[in-house]
Amino acid sequence: MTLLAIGRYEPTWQAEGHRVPGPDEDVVTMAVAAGLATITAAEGAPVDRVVLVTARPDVLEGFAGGVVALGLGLDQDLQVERRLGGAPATVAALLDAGPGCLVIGVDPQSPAGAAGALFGADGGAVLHSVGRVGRSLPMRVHRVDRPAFHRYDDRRLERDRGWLPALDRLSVEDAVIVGIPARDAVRLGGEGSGVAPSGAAAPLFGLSRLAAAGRDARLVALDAGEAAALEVEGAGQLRVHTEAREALARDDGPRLADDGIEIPIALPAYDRAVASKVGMVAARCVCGELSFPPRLRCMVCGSEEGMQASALPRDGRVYSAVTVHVPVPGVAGPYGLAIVALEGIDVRVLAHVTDRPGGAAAIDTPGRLVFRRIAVREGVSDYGYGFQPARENQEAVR
Amino acid sequence: MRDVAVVGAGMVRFGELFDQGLKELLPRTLSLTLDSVDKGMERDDIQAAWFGQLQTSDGFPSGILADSCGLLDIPVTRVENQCATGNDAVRNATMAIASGHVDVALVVGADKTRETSARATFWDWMGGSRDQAWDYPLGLIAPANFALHVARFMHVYDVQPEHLAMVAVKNHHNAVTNPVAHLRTEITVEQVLAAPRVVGPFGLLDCTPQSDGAAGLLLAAGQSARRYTDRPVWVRGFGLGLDRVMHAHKADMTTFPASVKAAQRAYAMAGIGPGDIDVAEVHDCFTGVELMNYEDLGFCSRGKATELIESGATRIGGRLPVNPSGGLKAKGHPPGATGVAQCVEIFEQLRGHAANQVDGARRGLAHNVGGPTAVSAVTILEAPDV
Repeated sequence: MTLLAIGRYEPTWQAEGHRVPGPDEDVVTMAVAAGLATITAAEGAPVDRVVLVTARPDVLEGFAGGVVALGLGLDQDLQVERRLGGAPATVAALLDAGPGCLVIGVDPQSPAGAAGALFGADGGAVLHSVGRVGRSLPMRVHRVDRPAFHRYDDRRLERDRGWLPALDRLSVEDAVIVGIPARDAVRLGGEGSGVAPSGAAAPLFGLSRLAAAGRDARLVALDAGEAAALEVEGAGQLRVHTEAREALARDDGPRLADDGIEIPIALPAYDRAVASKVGMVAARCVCGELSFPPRLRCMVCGSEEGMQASALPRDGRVYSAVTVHVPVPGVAGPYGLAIVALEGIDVRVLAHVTDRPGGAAAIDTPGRLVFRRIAVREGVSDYGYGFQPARENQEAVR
Repeated sequence: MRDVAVVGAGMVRFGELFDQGLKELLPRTLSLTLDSVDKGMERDDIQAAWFGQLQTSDGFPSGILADSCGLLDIPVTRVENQCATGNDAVRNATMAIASGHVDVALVVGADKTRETSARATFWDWMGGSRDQAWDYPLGLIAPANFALHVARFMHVYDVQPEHLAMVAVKNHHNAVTNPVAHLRTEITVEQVLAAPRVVGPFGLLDCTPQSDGAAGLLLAAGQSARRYTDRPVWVRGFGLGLDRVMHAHKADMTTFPASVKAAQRAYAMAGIGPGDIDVAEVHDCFTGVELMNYEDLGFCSRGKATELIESGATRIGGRLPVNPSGGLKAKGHPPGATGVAQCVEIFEQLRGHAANQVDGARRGLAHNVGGPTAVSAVTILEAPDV
């Protein structure tokens, strides 16, 4: 069993020097972005199982694992296991993984990021377990029933009773230490992670840096509950793909003015649409016509039989677009709406314009459709695609 | 098919009518409409009614019309066809009379757009016209629905924001002297361009207000019309057209194919063309939509709407005055009532006593386009003496 590739995703928005998720991003969309980057890096190596690790789930019940699978372009029935935890939990998941397993760590909090690791039968790098230390020093507690963190404010206590005893048992000189702020990692004799995520995604960002440096090393992951370490062998063989755009100030981005509104949902309609909407799958008629959303009867030849699922390209150009300036409760604004003509085929898609200050993009702007959370409706996350203009097209139109 | 005449027409002032519900607006409108009949009409003469209402703001629509107006012994049918509701109600009543099924029919249109909080109103009103899974959660609000068309229209035909503003200025000017209009203030091009932005090319002054209101028409078969008036206005044509409901499926967004189909049907039925129209009330829910209507209704050729508005041809006194009432933009837009009120205006124009009279108007056209820009209705009326 070997680690083939790492894929990294960093949200476009930035606040106080760190990447933060956009209003249409959450654990699920960031997991999909990281997973797709990983599959890209692995050049399409097969995935038959997904393990998603995060310390900050959006929902406790009602997690839609099938949405993650569809967003990754995989079978909806594929096993998507969600694990609760930070950096050590991701290390444990990496050491458990078999060929075809895609491990994704997601940190939706600042510094936000997500990364994936895809395993195969041979090629790539090998991971060796070093050990695990159980600890019980809850310096930070986030109770499910309370919105705020409880912090026990004593940094020396955390260092002396939390980190150092674990590092005594697991660490060596020049180890990469993740899961704690970079400054602290350096002080403890290890290499920090810079401005990268410090939770479940941190070990994967650490591995990607080792891959870039072609350096085999020990990686130690820490958090309040445990510490775990692994050694990577053949880091230079790892393929890495990063999805990150030039940062935009989050203060310039859309804001949710009034999130007290309950946008209604018809769950049967959601259910009928979800596979096509989340997978961006059209219906191809026997005559060749593509229908998106899929429809029973072909718009061109009138056939009502023989429709086949057909995955759509993600690249396109703006056919028409407008910015909605007026506040709409439940939608972060100002927001852009664009009708996007997909590249090379006669299919258009209506989508929010995303990752851009000031809403819409001008007609003919090129870009691509990216998996996002379109809305939260009666508590249900409604996923689909947003139009992300190509990076040189940042100028907004009204 | 029998000839059908409009023998009476009435409407209440459009506006923010917080103090009146449907149960007040409907009987007042019917009384005004009956009072407008030259030789008088008994309530008992009405044999059937069609009620255009888009939103059920106060319960069961047909029942409320029958109950509040004392029409419990006739059939009442509610018509809902998005913003084309009013002219579609006229069409349905006309067909019933033309077929010989009834001799006298009532058409009423009414809506209360302000019966829901400002926070909830976008989501409430989108619920009836957007695909629940695909378009609804995107917040494709009414102005965005039209702005996506107008943005493309402006791009293709080099239409400037000033051209849109000219529509608002014209229609506001007309409303100043119309006592039943909602917004009766003069505005300037500069004010329109400087107004707070709403969606895309539309600022606040490019948009219709949210109006409450009601309007009524009394229709009679040709043979019986003379019992009620010596100056009947004839229904010469009507048309209803549809289009793809999702924007992603509309091949060319610089046009509303629903309007083209509705207009072609109405012109063919009347045996006339757009050049024969002397006055028109068209759907100007947003300024740029009026410009698109000029082309779809055949008032000018493709790409020539800017020339038509620049030339002043659509002002009162021009070659083809459009929206002499102030239009949706300034008279107001209670959707179910809008098309009926357009016909009230055309009725008065063709009888020579409109508030903003177009000299010598002999044929008039009323037009709606709405919903997800996927339905349109057109009615063509003719003066008594043609």
